[in-house]
Amino acid sequence: MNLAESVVEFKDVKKSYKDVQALKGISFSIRKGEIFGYLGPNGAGKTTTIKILVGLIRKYSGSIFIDGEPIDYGEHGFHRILGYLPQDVGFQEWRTVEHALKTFGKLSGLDSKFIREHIPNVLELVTLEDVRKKKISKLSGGMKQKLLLAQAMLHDPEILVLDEPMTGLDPLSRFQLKKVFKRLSKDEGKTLFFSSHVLSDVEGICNTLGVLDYGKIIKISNPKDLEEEYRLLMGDIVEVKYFNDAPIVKDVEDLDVVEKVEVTDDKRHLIYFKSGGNLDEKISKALSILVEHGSKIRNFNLVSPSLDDVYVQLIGGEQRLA
Amino acid sequence: MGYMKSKITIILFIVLPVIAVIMTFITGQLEDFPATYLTTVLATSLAGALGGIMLATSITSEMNKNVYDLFLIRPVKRRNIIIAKFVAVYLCTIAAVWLSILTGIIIDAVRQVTVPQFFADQLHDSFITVFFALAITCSFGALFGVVMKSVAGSALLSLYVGNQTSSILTLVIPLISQMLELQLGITFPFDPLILSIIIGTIASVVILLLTLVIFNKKQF
Repeated sequence: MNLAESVVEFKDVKKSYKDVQALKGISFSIRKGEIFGYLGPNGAGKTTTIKILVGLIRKYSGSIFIDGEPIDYGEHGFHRILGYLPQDVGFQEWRTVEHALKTFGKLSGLDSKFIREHIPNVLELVTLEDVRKKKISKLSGGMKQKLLLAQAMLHDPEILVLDEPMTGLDPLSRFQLKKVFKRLSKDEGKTLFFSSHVLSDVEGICNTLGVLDYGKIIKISNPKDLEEEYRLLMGDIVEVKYFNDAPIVKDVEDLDVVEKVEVTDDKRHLIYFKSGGNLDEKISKALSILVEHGSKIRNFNLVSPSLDDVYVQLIGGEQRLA
Repeated sequence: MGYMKSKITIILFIVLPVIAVIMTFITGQLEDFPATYLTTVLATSLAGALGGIMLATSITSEMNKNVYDLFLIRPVKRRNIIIAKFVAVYLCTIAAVWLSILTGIIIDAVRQVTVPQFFADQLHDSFITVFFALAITCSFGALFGVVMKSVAGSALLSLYVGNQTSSILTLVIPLISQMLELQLGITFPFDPLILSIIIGTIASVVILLLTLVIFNKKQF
């Protein structure tokens, strides 16, 4: 897997709908073979970005490059290279699963032999082989979502563009799809660009995270770096669960290494240390106070910011909810 | 030709002939009145409305459900999507009309009723005219299907505008030519059938082209 080559590149792409500026000049690139998670709250501009990339929206300013070449929607090869799973899309439901895939295959310009041979493979990949002859109208929402993925993969594209692919899927199907995505990226060298507003969808599988908000890219990083960056920003936090009838929060707070102590609803204590200094020594000081006051410590761990915390911080944190 | 397998087409193939049979039973007391005539008049007058409405509602609802997104991301010319839809609905409706008329012919054969020459001439003209009237209503169906967001709105507009326009072929031209001849003794300068064919073709092509231009410019 070569992660160095940029396979898709957005340069200062802007798009407006009447008075609303949906994209305010976004620039980023996706490297060959990577899984790029495109995150953002609803209405951030994710679908607009994706629709521009796949050619459903062609009126915009800025440039997009695929394999280093300016995008040419009219070129046959452009459609060959991209597979697209749209959000909120319907099928002609009177078709059977197989009939729909055959039609998509023909429209993609594939020859009949390839279509015949490839349909069982993609159906197996998305675990829909048992409903091959079933009418689409009889499928559940999750199955339709899997069929959308199947049609996106049918012509064996190099880049898969997936707009909220996990929507409507049960936890098991989400898990299965994550495995499929990893396999497509690792074993077959496919590039995946997928959007979500749910962080758990992208957690654990993305090489790169791009966070979009109000039509602007506010962060591009790999998940580990992002967590680390926010861990440093937030400082060291230790979570302690202990039992003690005596009110000792004040004593801990009085320590010169402690910034503040928060008591959670379930009686856990979060100790925020001041930045700088040796963490081990800071923890020892705090624990000594607790032990000195006869506390029974049940649980103790260093808190790392989860991607959820980071994401909420990035998009404006709790102030946005207020 | 996947559209032929859709539920609505199957219903159409059954309903039109069934209506023909019911009408024959209702008018059963009119002995020797040819069922072929009844079914032809009925099927040709219904076909235009049905074709237009089917096309309009189908396109609007599919556009509302973003069905075409999956087609447009493939190397397919946008215009081909609408043309394919138009041709499918047009041919299926024509097939339903034929089935209906065939039912009438079979009923007449069983009842041993012959169609008088006067009726046969009229049937011939209306049978040809319906091809072009249907083309007009289907073109309007496609246009309103693409333009409208409401399924009911596109159905109503295609029914109203499409039928009104297509009646130029089915009613206005034959009526004017007959009135001129009967009341003023003037021979209509054109063959009404040929004129209907020319007007029908031009109107359908123009409306369909307009539809394709609008569809091509649409942002999905």
